[in-house]
Amino acid sequence: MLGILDYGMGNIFSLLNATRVVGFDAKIITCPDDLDACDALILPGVGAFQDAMLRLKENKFIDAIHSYRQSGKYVLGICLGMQLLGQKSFEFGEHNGLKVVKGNSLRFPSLYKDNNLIIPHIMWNKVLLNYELNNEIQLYKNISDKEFMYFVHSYYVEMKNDTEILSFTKYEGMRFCSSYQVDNIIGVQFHPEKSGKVGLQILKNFNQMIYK
Amino acid sequence: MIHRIISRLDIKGPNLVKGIHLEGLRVLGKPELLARYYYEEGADELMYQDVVASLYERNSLENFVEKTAEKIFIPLTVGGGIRKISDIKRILRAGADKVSINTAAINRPEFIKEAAEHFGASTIVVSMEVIRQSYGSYFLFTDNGREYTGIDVKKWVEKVQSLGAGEIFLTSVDREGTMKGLDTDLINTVSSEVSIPLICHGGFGNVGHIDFLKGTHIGGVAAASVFHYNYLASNKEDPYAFSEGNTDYLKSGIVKNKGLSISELKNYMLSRGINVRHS
Repeated sequence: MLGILDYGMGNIFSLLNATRVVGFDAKIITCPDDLDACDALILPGVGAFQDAMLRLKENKFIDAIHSYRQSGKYVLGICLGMQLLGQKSFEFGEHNGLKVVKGNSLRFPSLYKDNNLIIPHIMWNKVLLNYELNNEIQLYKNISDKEFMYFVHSYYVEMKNDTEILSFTKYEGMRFCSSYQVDNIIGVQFHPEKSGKVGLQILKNFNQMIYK
Repeated sequence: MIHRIISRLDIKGPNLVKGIHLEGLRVLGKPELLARYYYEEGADELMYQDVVASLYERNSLENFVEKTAEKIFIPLTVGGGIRKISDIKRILRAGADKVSINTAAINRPEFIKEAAEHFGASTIVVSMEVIRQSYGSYFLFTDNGREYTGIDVKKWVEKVQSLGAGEIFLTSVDREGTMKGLDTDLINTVSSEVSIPLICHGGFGNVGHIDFLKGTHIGGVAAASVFHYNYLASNKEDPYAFSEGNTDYLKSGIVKNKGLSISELKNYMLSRGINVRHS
């Protein structure tokens, strides 16, 4: 069973449908005790970082997520979920994240090398696979380099270690990390559940990583 | 900037409808079938607008949103009759990614701020229905271009950005449904003021109308009629399968215009060096 964490942030119904379409037995998880039954966990989210952390705390999910990921099972963070797994965010001040992954969330600058950046970054943009990595990236199996995925965000994760970066994306010339993997922890900044057939392939690959 | 091509579906009751200048609504088909067609054709996003919701103070799109989210995996923006935080919550829960707000934002601008704080700025689209005035300025209207607000579009753009809106959906009521081309004067007026994504709508009718996008920071273009005609040219709709609405157009069986498919449009854009997603 795949658990999709529901802590009141964002559109989880689409994610539930998309994961079911690719063969997951997916369920929405609203209580920490339900995590035990999950073979993998998705941490979704849209909205403000601080709000999300508060709601995770209120729902007693923080310790539960930590013990879950220590069990070695996969955790996939999507969009805000990817950012929450990092060290901290600088969204309206400075806020601690779950500190599972060494990376901080920063706001896109409004100007990058004379280019004005329209923020939020809402568009289908290309995912450039990190060719510095030696092994085949399982998450991108059967997916070509430079495929388009759907992004909607104002913050991105600046990773401490480049070797944990699975892919980059460029916005007006500015390169940022669009996905990472640290052992069993995966983060994607784009929305696979909203990225058409290529997005579904990501979820299918995630399924195969779990049940191979 | 990689521009988005958005397929807009105006919905009244169970039907997909289309008017001219947002008036004179004719039934063109079943929304779920057209939505599926546009998804397969490569639309970057869908926009559902309940065209009578603010008039009757109802909000009935949830069923369509749920059905859409089951099978269609591209972003979906939903508008029409959204007045409260709980309306937004319900629509997002049904499977929408963004909501678009017009009347409620004009009646109480603080609603934008509350909504953006609650759901994240990127979820909140402010929709603007604009009519050109005789002396050349552009003013906002609500309720599908029926209600004059006395608000100048430039001032409103500045205001909604300061309140935390994530995107602007700009409709030229003058051009809407005419397929005579977008109002580029209006677009220039607004685009020079925006630091958030801008979607332009109203009047798109043939490939050449997209040329203005090249080299701009405009997020994308939304169109309805031109894509609907393309759908009708290749799909038969039984006019007697509809329980309500004006089906005269479908009964006439006359398709005056073959329209344009999304894939044709995108091929044209690429040939002109206008960035767009393609597969």
